[in-house]
Amino acid sequence: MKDNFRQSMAWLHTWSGLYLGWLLFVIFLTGTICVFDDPITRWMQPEKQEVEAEQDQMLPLAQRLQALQHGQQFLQQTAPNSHFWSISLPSQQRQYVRVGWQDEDKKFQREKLDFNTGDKLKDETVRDTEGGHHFVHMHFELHAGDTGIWMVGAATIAMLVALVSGIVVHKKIFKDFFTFRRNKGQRSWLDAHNALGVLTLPFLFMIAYTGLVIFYSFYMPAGVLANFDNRQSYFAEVFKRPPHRDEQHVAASVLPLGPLLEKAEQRLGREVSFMSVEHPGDLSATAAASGKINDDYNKNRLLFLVGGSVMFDAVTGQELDTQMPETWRGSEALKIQRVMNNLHRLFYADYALKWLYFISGLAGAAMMATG
Amino acid sequence: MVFSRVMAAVLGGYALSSAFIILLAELIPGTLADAVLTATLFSFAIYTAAIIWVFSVRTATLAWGGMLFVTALCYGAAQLLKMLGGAA
Repeated sequence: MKDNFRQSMAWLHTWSGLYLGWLLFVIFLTGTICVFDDPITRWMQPEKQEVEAEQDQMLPLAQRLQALQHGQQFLQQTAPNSHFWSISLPSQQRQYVRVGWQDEDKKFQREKLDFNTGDKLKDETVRDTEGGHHFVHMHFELHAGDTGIWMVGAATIAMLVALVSGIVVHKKIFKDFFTFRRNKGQRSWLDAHNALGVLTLPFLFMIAYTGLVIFYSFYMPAGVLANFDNRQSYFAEVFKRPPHRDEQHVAASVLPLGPLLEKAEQRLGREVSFMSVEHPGDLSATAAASGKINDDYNKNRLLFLVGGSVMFDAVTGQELDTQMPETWRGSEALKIQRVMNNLHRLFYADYALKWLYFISGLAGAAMMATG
Repeated sequence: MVFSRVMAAVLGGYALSSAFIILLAELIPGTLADAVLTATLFSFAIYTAAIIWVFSVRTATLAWGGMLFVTALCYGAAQLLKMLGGAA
């Protein structure tokens, strides 16, 4: 392109930065804010009573069974032919049933219910807000659905290209790092850009690459599509879970979920916090009961392990599949993908590490702005 | 000229990465799902390298040629391996 490799890379660094830097800046800044999405939500709802507890506790079995019954009743009335139901059971910090379902337009709907009466909860005392979660959607899809995910992906690849070309451009990377000329206009901005870029370089590579890896099968489906009939059969093999049950279009009603929950708790030796039903109303319906996630266990562990789950035939009640709490289920390579996912999303991190990510993120955003 | 080169990087690079992971999935031992996943995890590095290469060569034609040649090579080799694997 230009006379030599370094000049080509300088050109590439400049132009990819100019065209996509603004978008990357937005992604970076919102991503940085995402580190503290939960605290932001709490800050936006100061009227909410905080239960000061490190570990949220589930409500006792009797209350959860009641909640489950109301949840199921609501879904049966509202969305009998939905593709998917979910029921989150009440805990000390969330004293309500949260039901979710897929409506006719394949959109996901949710509602909060009083677990004693089953009435819709229009909570007047706590304002309704997406809170910090807004930034999460801004960060990975720019509130633009699949198009947004592709745009973020393209910008992230451009970022990897800019990082590599940036390193090539700065041959005196060590010396440049210690150079800062104040009050020299453009030169000062560039020195700041170099210092911040070099300082956060490992973080920048890690965060960009792991971000892409979260959506690997969306961004790079070639390998999956060349070797499997569809994504579902691939995921069944990767997650080592029983194959997806196709709809049979034969009407059949879902059993009361209460007894299934009790059976699952016995099997897992753990409180169930969440139940879901796939294809309710069809003969192929399955119900899954998930054990509560153990946050203490997952702290400082890169491989996040869930609280186990039991899957039932929702029409006959037959047990189909069980995964015990804190056990790994899935292929070996999936572990690598999950760890990279966790490195990006920080499920394992305590506040010290979150602050380190936050500062690195701000430094990265400043690097883009000064460039 | 620049536009052609950008297209070579974005589209050609994507095709190359796709073909590359299909080939890599054939070469990696273990279960098919593991091989496909591992290969896919490498794809973003391949894509980045491909884009860097596109912008480092002398002409856009050469960039396009390189992308298409490697894509065809990877894809062809993968198909060949699949055929041999199927026969054995």
